[in-house]
Amino acid sequence: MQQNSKPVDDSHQTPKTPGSPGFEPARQMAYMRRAVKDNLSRKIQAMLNSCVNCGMCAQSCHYYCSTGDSDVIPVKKFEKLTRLLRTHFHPLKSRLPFYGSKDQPDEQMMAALYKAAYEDCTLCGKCALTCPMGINTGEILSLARAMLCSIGRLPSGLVHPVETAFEVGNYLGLTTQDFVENIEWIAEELGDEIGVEGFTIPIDKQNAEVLYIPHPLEARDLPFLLMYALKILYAAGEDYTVSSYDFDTVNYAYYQGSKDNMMRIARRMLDAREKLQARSIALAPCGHGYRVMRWEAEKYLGKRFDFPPVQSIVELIDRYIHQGRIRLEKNKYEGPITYHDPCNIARRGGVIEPPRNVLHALTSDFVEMQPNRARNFCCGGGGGLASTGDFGKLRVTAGKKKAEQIRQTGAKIVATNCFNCMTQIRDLSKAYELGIEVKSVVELVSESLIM
Amino acid sequence: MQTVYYIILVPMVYLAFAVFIVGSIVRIAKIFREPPNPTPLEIHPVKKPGWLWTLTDTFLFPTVRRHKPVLWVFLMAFHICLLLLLIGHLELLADFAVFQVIPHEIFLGNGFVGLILAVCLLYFLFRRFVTPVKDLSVPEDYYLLILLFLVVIFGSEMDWARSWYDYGEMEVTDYRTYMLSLVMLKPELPYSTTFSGHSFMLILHVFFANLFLMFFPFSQLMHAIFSLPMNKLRRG
Repeated sequence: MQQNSKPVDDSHQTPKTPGSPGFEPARQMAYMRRAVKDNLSRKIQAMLNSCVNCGMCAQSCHYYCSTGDSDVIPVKKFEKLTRLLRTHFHPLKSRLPFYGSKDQPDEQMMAALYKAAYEDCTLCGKCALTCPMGINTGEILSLARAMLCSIGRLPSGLVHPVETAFEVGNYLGLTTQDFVENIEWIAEELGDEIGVEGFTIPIDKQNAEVLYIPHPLEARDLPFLLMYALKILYAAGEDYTVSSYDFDTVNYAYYQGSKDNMMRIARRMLDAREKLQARSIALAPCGHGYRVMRWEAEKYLGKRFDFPPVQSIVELIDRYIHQGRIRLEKNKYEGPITYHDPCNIARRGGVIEPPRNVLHALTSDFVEMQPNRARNFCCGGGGGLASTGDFGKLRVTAGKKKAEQIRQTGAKIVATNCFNCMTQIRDLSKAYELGIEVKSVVELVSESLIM
Repeated sequence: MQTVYYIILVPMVYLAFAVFIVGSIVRIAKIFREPPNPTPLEIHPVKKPGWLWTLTDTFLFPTVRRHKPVLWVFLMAFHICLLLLLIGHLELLADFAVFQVIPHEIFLGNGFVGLILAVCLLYFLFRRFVTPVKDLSVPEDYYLLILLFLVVIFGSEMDWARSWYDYGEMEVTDYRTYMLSLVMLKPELPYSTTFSGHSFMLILHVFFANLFLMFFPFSQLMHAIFSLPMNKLRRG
């Protein structure tokens, strides 16, 4: 497949990753050793030790299903890491002559590892469900990502957003002033639409029930998406607020594999809630953002948050419908609607039924993909691939399985709950001429609201 | 020649067991030396009670049944027979009242356990010549399967000779004398084990089994030990 299509060469452009030191070649080994030490847990070690080479994982990986290339079978991907750990990081074996070495691994090995970790795996975790031993290749490869991140070898789409997030507070570099202005503009528009004079959106309101964290893209480029979400919150009579300190669900540092960087970004959201004393946090549709705030941050801190679990806005909508706080016009959209389960929200996040309840309330023609729910295939845009421009072609190739799945349902609209998935499925729709519309669940609900 | 027989049947067995036990402990210790995972990672949807699902995952391979039903049949047959085989060997040591709940002769299964195992092993081996399994197989996979096949085939032949063709020179009592003496650390080789016509089967069986045991801690065979904790980790 793409084995020779693209040289892996992001290292010379932007070697500086936030939070990591310089990258003189001589010290790279030391950095990687530290990354291994920090990230190699009992679980990963156990996973590396218990593969039986049964090959069950092949059919579960959308890369293999799409390309049939034996190099992208999950076991072959993490084998590259295993080999590197054995020959260069093992305390004894790395000292054996003709076998190991204490020096920097050669370029070929590093390039193979980079390809396996960043290009050929979206960390979707479907293989963990299929493996009889429960080996999660995604988790193993986040160790590889951490190692590569420690020497600054990252795809460009995972460098700048994180840098900007550290400097400005969100990955797009949107200033607080712009954000507030945009929110005011949205308030005006929304006020006109629903016919309420002097409608305002509460910014930095203390003690609100829900702190809604938008996706910065919503706040800058796609204000209508943000408007949809706010309209639903308003219609439900929710006591909500948005923060002018943090308005970024995105956490690309998680895809870098660097747990510390991930927490630095996540901390900002926690601080924002702390400042406003909001009771809970609701997140805009974002797969990995949800995963980080719902599970990974707590895992990193080693304790539960002292506020109710972070929710995706879809869970809120489901609750509103259930409690009768919002009413929806059924079948406003014609044609069958299907739902794509984002890996980080369904399989690795646990939000499986709420979006289905919502869609059942919206349409009587809801069709499921096969397989669905936790066993759904990754769209191919996860793992930070959708944020890197160079990976466009790769994403389309890897998304063939998803395109087939969508075509099989015969749906006119694909609803989903994740920005990366939306981008990716739109690209797939173009490349494979699926003739579908890709919409966020929030958008569908908002358009069908009966005020 | 008798010296070689002796070495295989006595010192090598002790060596194999030593390597097996020490190696396994070292391999497990290597994993436990790493820092523990802060909190377990659940796979969704979470099903309760977790430990029960863990046991199901570990011993019934539901994921394999879902995706590869044929492989699952062979896997189940193989592992059940392996268990019966283990019981059979224990019964060569002494009589266990527990196992005689269903009355049977020693060795268990009247020869069919070994036959099923051999067939399963051949299936596993030939499966490795078809893509995608072909592409991910490493020499170790073939080596282990062939080695295990040799262990099974020579072991079974002794059983088949006794149970199907009334071969009477090597009796259960002879095996029992030999194995008990090994356990008691006073090795003793009954005349029939080294001088009868079928003694070469016993010697080859023990030889390959020794190799198998010695290779165990350094190979993927450790899945026998790891699969339970791994599945527990997955279930959270």
